[in-house]
Amino acid sequence: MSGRVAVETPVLKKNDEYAAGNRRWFAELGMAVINIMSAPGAGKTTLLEKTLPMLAGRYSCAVIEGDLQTDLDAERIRKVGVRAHQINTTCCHLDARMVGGAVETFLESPPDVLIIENIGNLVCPASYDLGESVKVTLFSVVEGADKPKKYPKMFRMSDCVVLNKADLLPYSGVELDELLSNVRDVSPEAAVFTVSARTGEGLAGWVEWLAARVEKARGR
Amino acid sequence: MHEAGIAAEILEIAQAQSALLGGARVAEVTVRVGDMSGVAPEALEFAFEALREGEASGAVLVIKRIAVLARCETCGTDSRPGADLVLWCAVCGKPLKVLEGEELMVESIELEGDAE
Repeated sequence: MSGRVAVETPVLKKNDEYAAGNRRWFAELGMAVINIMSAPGAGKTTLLEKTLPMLAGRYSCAVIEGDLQTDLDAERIRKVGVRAHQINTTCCHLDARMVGGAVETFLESPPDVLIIENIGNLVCPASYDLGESVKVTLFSVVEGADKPKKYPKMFRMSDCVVLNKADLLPYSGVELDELLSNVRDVSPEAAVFTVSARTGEGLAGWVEWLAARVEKARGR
Repeated sequence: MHEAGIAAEILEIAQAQSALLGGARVAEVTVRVGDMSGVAPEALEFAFEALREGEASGAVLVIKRIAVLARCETCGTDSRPGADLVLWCAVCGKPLKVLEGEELMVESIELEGDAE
């Protein structure tokens, strides 16, 4: 027999189903899960090194680190006193199954807040739902004001866009207003913070926003 | 890039359909790829051709590109944002909801088998 079958199936259906399972599981555990995405070198780990101590008094935290090679990032997180699990994958993104497996390692005492540091890549991670409660795009201002228009998907899908390395603005040739306007064009409803993870500038506003989203995700 | 992973998922969906029909040959797979899906059609075609095997070894991938279509939920105006991707309503200044252009869907699969 021959013929055309209308299937109308999302290409990433398998991942989407796994992510939906994760989401139910994370809700049962009362765990807020934050997926942080960016290009390599935008400062995800540095942002976490500064953010985690600011959350520490209020919540127990854990971090999943995604990288192609090394557990350097997990080591950096452990140095600030937070549990970390490193995923090494030659994939250009984390998927829901990898994250589900990593969460198993924290089950003896599930954290209130789980932060996933995705693999450095401004394109692919945006396509893969992990079952997270909150998506964050981190972008360093030195990457250029035009990038939100060139790589719109990640910005669009994010609940929050954090613009990092604000301390380098004077040397970058990037106009902050132009960058902010491009972020707003493609992602009208995201919360936007301009920070320097290195100097600490602007971090209080970001952490306050994050804590509010954590409360919401945990149903408090 | 993740197009190899995407192509593998498309082939898996096609193989599953083939299995439902007793291992029919997959002649063609039609997918819809939104301009804002984050998938590069050329890379997807290349990966699909490299990865196809078994019942799908001769399958042709047909890619329908879907332009971005957005609607203002405040005033009801539909618009097609151009390359500048301004997702705000030009009429009333409110954020737009994207209706089309983010999809990544297997639309249909053409199968060929021995007629009985």
